[in-house]
Parts: sequence; C-alpha cells; structure tokens
Amino acid sequence: MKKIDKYARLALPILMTVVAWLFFGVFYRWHLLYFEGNHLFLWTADYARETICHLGGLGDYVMRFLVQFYHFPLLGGAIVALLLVALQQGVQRVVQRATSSNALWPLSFVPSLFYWALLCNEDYTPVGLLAMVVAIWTVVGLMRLNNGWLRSIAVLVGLIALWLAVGGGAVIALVAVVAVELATKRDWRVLVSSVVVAAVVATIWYLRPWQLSDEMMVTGGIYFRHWDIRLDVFYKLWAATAAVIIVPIVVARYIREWINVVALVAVVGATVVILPKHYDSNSEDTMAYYCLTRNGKWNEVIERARKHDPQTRPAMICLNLSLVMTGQSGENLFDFPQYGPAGLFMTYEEDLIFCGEVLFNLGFINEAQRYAYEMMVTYSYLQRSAFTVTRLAETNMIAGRNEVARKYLNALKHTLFYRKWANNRLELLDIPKAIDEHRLYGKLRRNQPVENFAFFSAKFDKMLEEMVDQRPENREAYDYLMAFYLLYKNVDAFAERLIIPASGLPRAYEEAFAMVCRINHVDTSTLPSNLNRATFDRLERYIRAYNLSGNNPNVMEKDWGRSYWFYTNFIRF
Amino acid sequence: MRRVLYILLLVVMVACGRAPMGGYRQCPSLPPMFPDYADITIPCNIAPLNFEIDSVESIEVLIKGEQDWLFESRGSTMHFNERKWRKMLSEECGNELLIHVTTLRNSEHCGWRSFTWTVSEDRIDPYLSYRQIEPAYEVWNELRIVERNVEKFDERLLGDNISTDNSCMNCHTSNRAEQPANFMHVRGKRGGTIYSFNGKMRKINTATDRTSGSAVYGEIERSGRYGIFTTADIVPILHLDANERMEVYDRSSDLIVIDFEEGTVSDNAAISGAVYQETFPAFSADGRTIYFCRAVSRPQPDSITNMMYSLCAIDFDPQTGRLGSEVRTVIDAESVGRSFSFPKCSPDGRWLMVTVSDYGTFPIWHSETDLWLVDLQSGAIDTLAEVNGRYSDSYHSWSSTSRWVVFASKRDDRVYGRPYFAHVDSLGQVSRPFVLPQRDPTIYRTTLKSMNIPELYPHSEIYDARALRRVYFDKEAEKFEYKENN
Repeated sequence: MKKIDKYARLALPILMTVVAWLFFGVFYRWHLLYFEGNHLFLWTADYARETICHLGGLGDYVMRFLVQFYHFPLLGGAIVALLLVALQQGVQRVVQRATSSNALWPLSFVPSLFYWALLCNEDYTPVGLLAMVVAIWTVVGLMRLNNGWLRSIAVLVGLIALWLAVGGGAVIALVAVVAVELATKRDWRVLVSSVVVAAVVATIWYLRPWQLSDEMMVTGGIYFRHWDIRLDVFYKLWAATAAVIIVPIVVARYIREWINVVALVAVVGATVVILPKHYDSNSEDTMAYYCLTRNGKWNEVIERARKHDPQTRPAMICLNLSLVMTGQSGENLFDFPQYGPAGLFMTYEEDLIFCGEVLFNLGFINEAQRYAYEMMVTYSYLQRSAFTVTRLAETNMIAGRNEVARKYLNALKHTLFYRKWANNRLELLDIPKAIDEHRLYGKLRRNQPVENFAFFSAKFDKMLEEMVDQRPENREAYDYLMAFYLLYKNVDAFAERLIIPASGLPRAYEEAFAMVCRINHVDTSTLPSNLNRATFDRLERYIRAYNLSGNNPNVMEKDWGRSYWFYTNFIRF
Repeated sequence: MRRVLYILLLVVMVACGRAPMGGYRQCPSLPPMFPDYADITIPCNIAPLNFEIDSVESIEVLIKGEQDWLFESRGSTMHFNERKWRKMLSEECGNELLIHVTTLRNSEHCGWRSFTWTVSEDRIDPYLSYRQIEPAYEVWNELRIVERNVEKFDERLLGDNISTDNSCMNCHTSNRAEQPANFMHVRGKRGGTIYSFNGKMRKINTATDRTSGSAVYGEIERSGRYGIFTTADIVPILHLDANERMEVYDRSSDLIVIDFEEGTVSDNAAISGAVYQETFPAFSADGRTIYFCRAVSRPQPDSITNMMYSLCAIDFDPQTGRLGSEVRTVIDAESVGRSFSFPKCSPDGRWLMVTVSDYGTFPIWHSETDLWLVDLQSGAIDTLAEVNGRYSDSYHSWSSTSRWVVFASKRDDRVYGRPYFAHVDSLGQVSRPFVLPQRDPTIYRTTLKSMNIPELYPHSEIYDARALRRVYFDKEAEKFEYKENN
C-alpha cells in the first residue's frame, strides 16, 4: 500500500501533465486557436499600462502574453498543462508543510481538475488559473520564512500585492496562510497580519479606486469573457481549494495509507467520469470550421464535413460557404444534410462571427467591416482580438481607406505572430495598384456593390439579389443566392436567375431545373442541348420511387437522399 | 593622468546625452511632426504641444519670441518640460513665436523649415469633456466620459459604463455659466438624465406618455432652469457603398422644453408633430431664441437622401419658459444644398457655428461633413474652407470666452474622432485647428478609441465616475410630468 502511495505521488502529476497537454494541444487544439484569435498581445508600453493598471491587471497581462503562444496548439497545451500541474503541486506542498505528512494528497488534484473542466468552456480564461498558481506558490514561499516578524511582514505586504496583481484568486493564499499558521507555528504576528490583509482588501474593495463592475471587483482579472457569467463557479472553486487544504490539516492524524489510496481511486474515478462530460465536441468542431474558414482553407472544411456531418448551424454555414467558394455548391450542395436556409446565414442579432466570413468572402466588405468591429467590441471582452483587427485592416484596404488600415496594421506590427502579416500588407499599401492586383483583395474590391443600398441582415437573400444585379460577375454571390433559392425551395426565382453555361449545369442546379420544367410541363425537346437528359430521366424514376414509397423518407433516403428532390419533399424548416 | 582625463571627458559627454558630432543639413520642408502643430494659434494656457518625429534619435526645439526658449528631448518624441512651457506661454502671451526644430538621425543633424505659434491672449476654458468610445456601429462595450484639464495632461472619469451596468452614456454638456448647469444622459435600467447644478446631482426620467421618449441632444439656458432637447426614435442602418459607413436617421423627432426647477416637460405644436422633424436645439446667448434644425418628414430610409434639415429659430421666454408659436427659417437647406445639424451659439451672441452635410441628421459618419460659421448680426456665412479637414468635422463647442471652439474631427483617418481646437477672433477669423495635446502624442496612432462629443467649460464637473455609479444604482430617477406649453 505504501509503495502504491509513493509511486502514485510521483507518477500521477506526470500523468496529468501529459494527458492535459494532449487534451488541450491535440483534442482541444481548435479551441486554443480560436481563443488565441480572440486575443491580441501588443509589445507596447501603452498596452502594458492599459492592461496592468487595474485590479488583477498583472495577471491579465502575463496570461495574455502566454495566450499568444496558443498560436501553436501543442505549445499552448503545454502552457495549460504546466499551469494545472503547478497548481496541484503547490496545493500538495502546502498541505505537506502544514501536516508534515502526505495526508489525503490525492485531493490536491481537485482544484486543477476543477479548472481543467472550466477551461473546456472557452468563455473562461486561464487568468484565474494563473492567479491561483501564483497565490499557492506565494504561500509555499512564505512558509519557508522562519522568522516570525519577517513572515508577518511578508504576509502583510505580499498578500496585498498578490491581490492587486492577480485579483480574487489571491483569496486562497490568505486561507492557506491562516490554515498553515494555525497548524504549525501559531505565531500571533502572522495571524494579525492576515487579519490586517483582510481588512485592507475589504477597505480598498469598498472604496473602489478602479472603475470596475461588481463581478470584476470580485475577480479583478479577466477570469471570464461574458458579462452573464455567474461568479458562483469561482466561489465553488475557491471553496473547494480551501477545503482540500484545510481538511487534510484537520484530519491528518487519522489518515492511513489505505485512505490515501481510496482517495486516489476516487479522484481518478471522478476525473474519468467528469472530464469527458465537459469535453465539448460540438464546440470544438464548430471552432475547427471557423478557423479553417477564417484562413480560407475551403477544401479542408469540405473534407472535414465529408468525414462527419456538421453538427451546428455555424458549422453548416462554414461548409456551405466553402462549397460556394470552391465552386462546388451547384454540384455538391445536397451531398450534405441541408436543413434549410438557416444553414446559409444568421441575422445580425444571432451571429457576428461566422456570418462575417460570409459577408467578407461574398464582397459585402462594408458590412463585413461592421461585423468585425462589433465583434471586437462585444465579444473580445475588454481587449482587441487578432481575428477582428486583421479583418478590419483587410476591409479598410479593400475599401481604399488606407489611413485607417495603416492604423490597424501598425498595431499588428507590435505582435509576435502577426508582425510579418502586417508588414506584408503595409508594403501593399505603399505600392499603387498593388491591392487591385492582389489575388484576394483585388477580387473582393471588384466584387463590391457598385451603388449604395441599405443592408438588412434579416433579408440577406434580397441583399444578394441586389449584389448580383449590380455585380453579375460576382460568381460567389450568384452561387450563394442560388443556394438560398434552392434551400428556400423557391424554384421559380431559381429558374428566373439561372444561367445555363455551355458546359451544362452542375447536378443540384440541373435537378432543380428539371423539377421546374416538369412542374411547368416544359417540352424537354425544346431545352438547350447542353442539358443532361439523364437528369430528367432520373427525375421520372424519383417520382415513381416516391409514389411507391408512400411518402416515406426512410425508404427514399438511401437512393435519393442526396438529390434536390428529396430535400424539397422531405426536409422541413 | 591625461588618459584618465580623456576617459573622464568621454564619460561626461556620454552621461550628458549629447549625440556624437556629425553633419548638418538644412531641410526645406516643415518637420514631419505628428501631430501637425505648424503655423497655429494657441491659447496662453494650453498644455505642452508634445509631438513625435518618426525615427529620429533626438529633437531640439528653439522657440524665438521676446526671448529664446530651448527645449530638448531624446528619442523620437518631443516632451516639453511642463514648467518651462507654462513660463514661456505666460511671458510670451500675445506674441508670435518662431519655432526652429532640429533633429538628429544617423549622426546627422537636420534643421527643418521654421514655423510659427501665435500665443493668443484669449484663454481657453480649462476643462474639456469628451466621450471615449470605440467607433463601432450599433453596439458598445467600454465607454467613458472623460474630463481633461487642457492646461495640463490630467484626466478624470466622469462616467465609466463598466460601473454602470454597461449602459450607454452620452452628451455631457455644460451651459458654461458662472454657476454652471450641466447634463449628461445615462441609459440602461437605472439610467436617466444626470443634471448637475448648484452643487447637486440629480437623476431625471424625462420620458412622459405625451412625448416620444427621453431627452437626447440639447442645451440648458444660462440660468440653469430650462433645457431644450430633442426626443427622437433613432434608427441605425448600414450603407453598402465602401465609401460610406453608418447611416442613422430619426423615424420621428420633436423638441421638448424641460423645466428642471418645476420638474416638467412641455412642447407645443410649433416644435412637435408629424409634419416636420425637429432636432439639435440650442439657445441663443440671451436665451430668447432657440435655434434648431428642421426637415419635412419623409418616409425613411427610402427618402433619406432627401432629408434636408434647415436651420430654424423660435422665440423663447427665459423668464416663463414659454415658447413662441412661429418658426422662422434662418437658412433654408434647399437653398444652400446642405443639411444642418448641431447649431451652437457663441456665448457673446455674435456667432453661430453649425455642422453641414449632404443630407440627413447624423453627420458623424458623413465624410463630407464640415463646419460653417454664421454671423448672427449680418447673416453672412463663412464656410471655413481653411479650417475644415478632408473628413468629417462635426460636433463642436464654444469656450465661455467665445474665442475658442473645439470640434470632433476625423480628418486624420476618417474613422477615429479627435478634439481639434481653433481660435475665433473678434472678426470671425478662425485659425488653423490643432489637435488636443497629449503627454504621449503617439497615442493617437495606436488607440482604437474615438474621442467624440467634445465640450469646453470653465469649471470642473462636480461629480466623478464613482459618484455617478452611486447615483445610478442608489437613486431613483425623478419622474418629470408633461405640461402644456402654449
């Protein structure tokens, strides 16, 4: 039993580090990339001042510095894993010091596992984790001071400084200092210092020298990214951490090795049960779609969808955009399970992120800029983001607003991983006609609407009609509009807009066209010769099968599930 | 010994920060300084005009007036010594100064073409409030009302929406009287119009069931009792033309008179109703006239480009709060082909500055927006061709002396507004504008925040963001009642 206990104490932290590293670096890599894209760390004094000068600001600054390395998910995963194990090791050492034993050491994993589960939700930032790591290791440092006066002064100064630097997470340091002091030396000076620390913090809290919301006054640093996040979770986390420090101190004398092994089994078992529940595969998948779409990796998006059907509406939008951008929508739109026009666009109120990509790539540059701006202001909580600042630079370059594009590019020059990107674009701005001749930006500039009109996201199909009327050569807008007609089952509008090229029609378009012809009793012999007559024959076979199936989608899906006809007959939205 | 002396001499030279000796070149152009502070008129109480010259190692500024003033700075930013700067302005008040800038780059000194600063004896109001906001479209996150002392670099927060439920806040406006009355609006569940007067801070709900919503743009007359405001149903839409940004229009708009003493809101048929849309009211210096902008109501957004707001006026009795019954057109929008907004009268009653744009009621995002100066004695209009920049010059405010104006200009990059000051002499000549000086001028390059709705006033605001927070959360808004105004 002793051996199991000893080896587990050595092996388990290593195991947790490796598993956490793989978890975040491999299985949650799109989360890390997405998270990094929503941050922007600038190497400027102004940025440092702006970030640090508030409660918990130093923690924010350090974490933002670290988050930029999420750009490489394996490195990002390693950072998260090391923070998690640092927290566990810190808690274990504090308890060890207080009890002079390894009583209930498996419980030291609880705060790390708690935070691991929290980080599965991208709305929680690692700032709170960093705060707890710094707090617990500060306690480890304070415990090394044997001189009572020195320790009490260090507690007084150190804990106040700690709170100012990392915010609310520092509370566990205060709890740990008091618990350890009571369990070991019981020096009244340290206990008085702890009380003074609590009083000073309470006074500063009451006076509020910073303009912070109530939630932010609790955490200080940016531990979460949305105003509607409830603080309960942090209270529970801090309470759990305090418990795993205090409980072993109180019951240390009763603990035997077998109890540690039982605790070990319980912690491992809980981990195996709880963590998978927090792994959000849908969200990881959606972020993968977004990151690939954001980087124009259209074929990778389609490949991904071929392996697993997109599970969310934003992912579906990314897929349909990719089909359009690669010219495959006419052919392959119904190779994937479409569920209506909702898979093409969302309203402004519903989404700024994914539809911003649609707008940008279809030539709605002014609107894409608006989406990027609103996204930066609303989503990137109290900071800029690489996704939006790069997009703002691009939209302004395309629109010819070079001065403001320079402003964004100059900001990006102060970053580690976007500097090269910014310098390349600044060079473009210095060369006349370089944007016009640029493969992407030149095309998007030419694809913009010619005349002004008011944009309403709820009527995106109408916006596309306006765009196609003004820019008939905007092939992507045309295909997106046709996809809208098809998914709306508006085959009349589809037929009215349909252009039949010399090479014939792609499959989905031809299926829809054949359906229109049959509804309107068009004599197929009068149709252009470049249409594939086999499609019309297939339609007849479909109708016969449909009649035989008794309107049963399960019967029809096997042979006809990827046809437009199946979509019109069986998909409701 | 001699060797030691040489080494000591070298150490002293390095320690003194002197650049190594090099060549000298006379440059025929003005120094490429940012912000551009060449050939301007400045008030004798303005903060140092720190500037940056990109990629230089040091800057030397020799200012020649009654006496010579030498300022030096290492690095690419010229930070004037504040004490010396104030002494210079006080001793050179009323003089024209000749500025020689010399820079050092790659061991070469470059002497740039000289320019002038005319130090005006007319003091500028020391306080400037502005709204610090990311120039987004419909949404906002961080939003602050900042009070800046323009004689120094000190700033303090009058409002911060982080501490007020993330609510929108806007339009901090002062009547610039000896006993000032100021207002600003804080939206949100517990918001209201914050009215400060006589050392007291009140929170007021100006919406009544007889008027269309809460007070928006407006002014308070000098006694502090009456205010004139717009109430409007404001709608934002987006252009798809790459040269345009946001369009904002009023589905409907009227004017209301607020009596802060009696706690009433009133209007009359001349300034409300469906036939016209009225907005942007402002009192004349004597308080006997209210200037405002008015357009014939048309269906929008379809007819938005036909919405041409004329500059109009209506009588007002500052003793009783009674409005006149007839509206006079001061400048017809159709006749000049421009739509008017934000009329503001100089406190001496001589001038009226107004914003003009091609159409509509929200010139902030119209890049063609300019300022015009109207002589209220002769009716002459100055289109301020030398003052207006290439992009939107809009919201403006007079100093209490009537000799300075501040306005929000997007002339630098089209998107980010910055406060620019200009001197207006007794003949109505407006000087070349200059941007609000900053301790670190490069902040204008890097900040992603606009500084809009600039407002000058002589006395510091009585509250700060903490007091505002308390009022926001702890105080119930006073409900004003509707009252007929015949």
